[in-house]
Amino acid sequence: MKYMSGRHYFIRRHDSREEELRRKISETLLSAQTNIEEVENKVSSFERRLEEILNRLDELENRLKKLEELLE
Amino acid sequence: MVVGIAIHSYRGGTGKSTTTANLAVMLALYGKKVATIDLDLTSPGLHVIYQVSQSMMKATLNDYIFGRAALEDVVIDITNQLGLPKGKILFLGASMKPEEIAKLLKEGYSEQFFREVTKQLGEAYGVDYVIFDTHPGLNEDTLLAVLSSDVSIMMMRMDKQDITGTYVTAQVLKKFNKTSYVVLNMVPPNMAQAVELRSEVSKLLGIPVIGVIPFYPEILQHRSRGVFILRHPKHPYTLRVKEVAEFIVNKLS
Repeated sequence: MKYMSGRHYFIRRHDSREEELRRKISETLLSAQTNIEEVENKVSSFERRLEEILNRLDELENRLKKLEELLE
Repeated sequence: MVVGIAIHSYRGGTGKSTTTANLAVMLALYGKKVATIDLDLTSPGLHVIYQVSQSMMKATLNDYIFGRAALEDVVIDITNQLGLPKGKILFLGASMKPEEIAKLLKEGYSEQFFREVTKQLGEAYGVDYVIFDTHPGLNEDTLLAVLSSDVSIMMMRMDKQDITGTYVTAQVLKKFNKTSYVVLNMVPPNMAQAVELRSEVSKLLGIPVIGVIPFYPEILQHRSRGVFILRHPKHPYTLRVKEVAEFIVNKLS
């Protein structure tokens, strides 16, 4: 960091920590070996659960409406 | 202590800039000093929401990164312009010149930049939070931005592409033991009512959901003309942003 009369400058320096982080990021991305089928299955089953929840909500809403109609 | 927060998403159009601006203002309303940095280099847009024109910028973030300008030349204090009664909002804007964007993307920004700019903003302006509005995707530079910040907040819409991409991103971040949170944005209103939504998403991603923001057509109609929560303090959107800000104030300081 360059600091001159109350002003702050950024100066990029050689940094082994940064090289290490970049290397780790590249390595992680390249070696991820993501099983897309497995990911898609997980997301699909999540979406099914969500759909069930939404259906339950719809059902509840309908029941409430009927109750309100009955009370009127 | 200054907390660096990266607002990130797997895909574009998730509302990162809108959330960054509104969240920053909400944090300021809690009396916090917040610096917001536009790092969505390929399509910077935070300045539009803040209504800061490029001509108002004495220097850009690009100038600071390449050592051509001091931090003090880049920082714009927009607290008064926004009419905030307390707190502080600082804005650091990126250049919109194609050659500057290309240079930065080619030469890449560094972990040192995130560390130094956060530290210097703390020293020079006493900020509590530095929010980086990053560009979307799962590439090396974006991951560097996310990993160099203290905390990552991933924005996610409830469509299959977003969910799948965010899941993959979450898996990568877990390998780095990164503290991450998720904010669900533009959620269909009926879905946002489901109390199980948070727990289901948290379970899938293995990351806590700290906010659920339904889709409000008023946000679209607002067309990024200013900070929405300041014009509509009683709108339900404002309350949702408040919830995220409260989490940050209470848990991340």
